[in-house]
Amino acid sequence: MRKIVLLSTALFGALIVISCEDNESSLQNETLERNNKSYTVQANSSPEFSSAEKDFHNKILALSGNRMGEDFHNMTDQQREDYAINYLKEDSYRILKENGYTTERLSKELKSDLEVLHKALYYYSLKTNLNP
Amino acid sequence: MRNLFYTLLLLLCTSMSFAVPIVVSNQSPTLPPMLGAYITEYDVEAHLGILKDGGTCEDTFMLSYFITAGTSFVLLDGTSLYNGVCISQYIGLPTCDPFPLDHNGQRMGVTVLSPPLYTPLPWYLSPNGFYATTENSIDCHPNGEADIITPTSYEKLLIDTTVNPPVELLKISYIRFGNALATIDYE
Repeated sequence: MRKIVLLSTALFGALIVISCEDNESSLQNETLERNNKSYTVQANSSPEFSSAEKDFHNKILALSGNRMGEDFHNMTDQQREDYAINYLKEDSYRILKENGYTTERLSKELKSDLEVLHKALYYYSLKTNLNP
Repeated sequence: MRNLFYTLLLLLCTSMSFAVPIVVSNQSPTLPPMLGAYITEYDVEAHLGILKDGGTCEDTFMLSYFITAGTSFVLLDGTSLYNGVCISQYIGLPTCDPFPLDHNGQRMGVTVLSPPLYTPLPWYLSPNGFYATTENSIDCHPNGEADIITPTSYEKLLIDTTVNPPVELLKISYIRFGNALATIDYE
């Protein structure tokens, strides 16, 4: 009788150990999966830009790289904002026109050049981001 | 009556705030060096410090990206996706909330692709350490690395001074253009 009890206890213990190992291994797998996911590439490596989007893209890269012959680090936030809006203005409007915005709709829905820029950035993101 | 006025004013101010889209670009190397670019082509593993616009250092959360050479992407606001969910939900909010974003620092690693020079990049030339801006993070995360630090921008230029003449290898920068946009750039 004692042997049976001991055997059952041993079997029960073994089952618990196996079950814990399984859990640990599945937790490790989950952690690995999460870590891999966190390095998911968000950028589209070959976006199909329209002509306006391509010009917009090149100008954003020039702004990002501080290649405008200005020193953005020495400007105030407001000066930088004015500069960026003005520099990207023409292509922002071109992008919106490509996306069906008439002059009427523009004046009705978007109140400033800043709002136009943000809307253009939205359409731009649909091309640059893999998961828009 | 006065309370009602201030409440309305507050609501109005809140609704007038703009999101600040953040454009992240790996420009390495899209231009030849003579046009102001740098010689090294590299992929970036970036851990970006992101927070709600106007938040403090303690509000920062980290988004990790692998950014291959020559690519760009945009973080529009809290509704932009991260690992398949809205950023707002990723940080624990119940809804996909379009709150405006800001950036306040990053750590990164680079994988050099341009052979045969500097592959891999030696430790002393790697962009190690933390890059931060003074506006939101300097009090709890001092900017250990950048050459230029302003309240809303930073820049690090990596130069190999062990060779003659010295070689400009790569540049990492962040610039916030007010309420228009912010850019994080690798080149």
